[in-house]
Amino acid sequence: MANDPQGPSDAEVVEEVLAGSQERFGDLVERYQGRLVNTLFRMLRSYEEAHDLAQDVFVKVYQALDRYDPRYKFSTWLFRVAQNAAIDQIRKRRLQVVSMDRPSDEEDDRAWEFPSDDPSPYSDLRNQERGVAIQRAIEDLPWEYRELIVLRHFGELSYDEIAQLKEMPLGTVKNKLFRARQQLKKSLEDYLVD
Amino acid sequence: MRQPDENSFREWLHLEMDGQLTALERQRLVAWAAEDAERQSERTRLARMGRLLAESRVEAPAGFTAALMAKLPAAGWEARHPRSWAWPLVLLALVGSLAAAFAGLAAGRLEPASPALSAIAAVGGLLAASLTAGAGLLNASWQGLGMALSGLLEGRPLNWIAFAVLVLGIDLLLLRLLRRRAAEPAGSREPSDDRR
Repeated sequence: MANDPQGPSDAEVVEEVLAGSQERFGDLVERYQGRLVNTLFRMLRSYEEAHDLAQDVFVKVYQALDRYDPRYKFSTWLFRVAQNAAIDQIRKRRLQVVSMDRPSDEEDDRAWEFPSDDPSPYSDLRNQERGVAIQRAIEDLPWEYRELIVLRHFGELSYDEIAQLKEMPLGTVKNKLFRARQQLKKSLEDYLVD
Repeated sequence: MRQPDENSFREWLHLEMDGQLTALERQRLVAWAAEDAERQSERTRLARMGRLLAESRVEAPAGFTAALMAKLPAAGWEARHPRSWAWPLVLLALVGSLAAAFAGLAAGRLEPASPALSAIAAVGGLLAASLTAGAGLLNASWQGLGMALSGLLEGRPLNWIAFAVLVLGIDLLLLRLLRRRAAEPAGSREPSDDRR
């Protein structure tokens, strides 16, 4: 989670990094790497690219750390930089005329697999199908819904953080998120019944 | 306590999924859902969807942090926070005080009480002399530079303009070196041709 109640807050760690303890930046990376990679993975649909971009985003944030305003949440700032970077990346890809409508053959479909303890081929197939279904259901959402779902369920941001990040009233965030979930629920109906 | 309306309970279904309900609210939600099969089914399906999404999260690759830390650029002196200068300044003040004390001893203003102190005073004297000599040299070289510059510029407007452009250029270069890139702009962006 963003701020371990036992440990120092994000703002405190930032202050330590700015005071010269570069290695403390690693603590922030540890806190956010999973959530950031997940968010970027869902936006870019490529694990490798998500990993590389997450690294770039952290470096970018590190270089601009002295301009971090502690009145705002670090997570909000980090995810804003990440989101903008992902959008730039998608635009760049489109310029290379790569089809983005569905995962292409070049993309690693195994990335959508669910982690499973059951090694049977049937289980593998089912997990992969489910993973692909989730990704498609997310991609079928309108952009504004899609990004809220990704930020909430993969970036694990709170409603408040999303509202701050998207500069939207809290009520609007909830409203859109609830509608997005209704739509997602319909798409995933087969996986939600008994 | 006032009973929430149907819409509020529907909203609570989502809040429950996000773990944002209090124990009492959750209890009331469970009771509300138990009254109707459709409500119960909605609650179950939302919870399943939450689990499904959570289970589909991927792990960050091993060694992510180490690889990233190796990529971080070393902080330049201009990037250092003012607080990081605190210790070097204290150290400088200490060395300065010591040097001043040695210089004082060397000048005989303080009476050395032992041969060891006399030796330190002698070293201090040596230091003071070299500092004076260094300062004199620096002064002379700056004076020389100033004289050369004034000779170059005297009565030549074109040289003045060239000099001004040079100074401005150096200033801009320094500014560019010191200034970091502006933060990412706030607000929502989206791929322009993304499907809607």
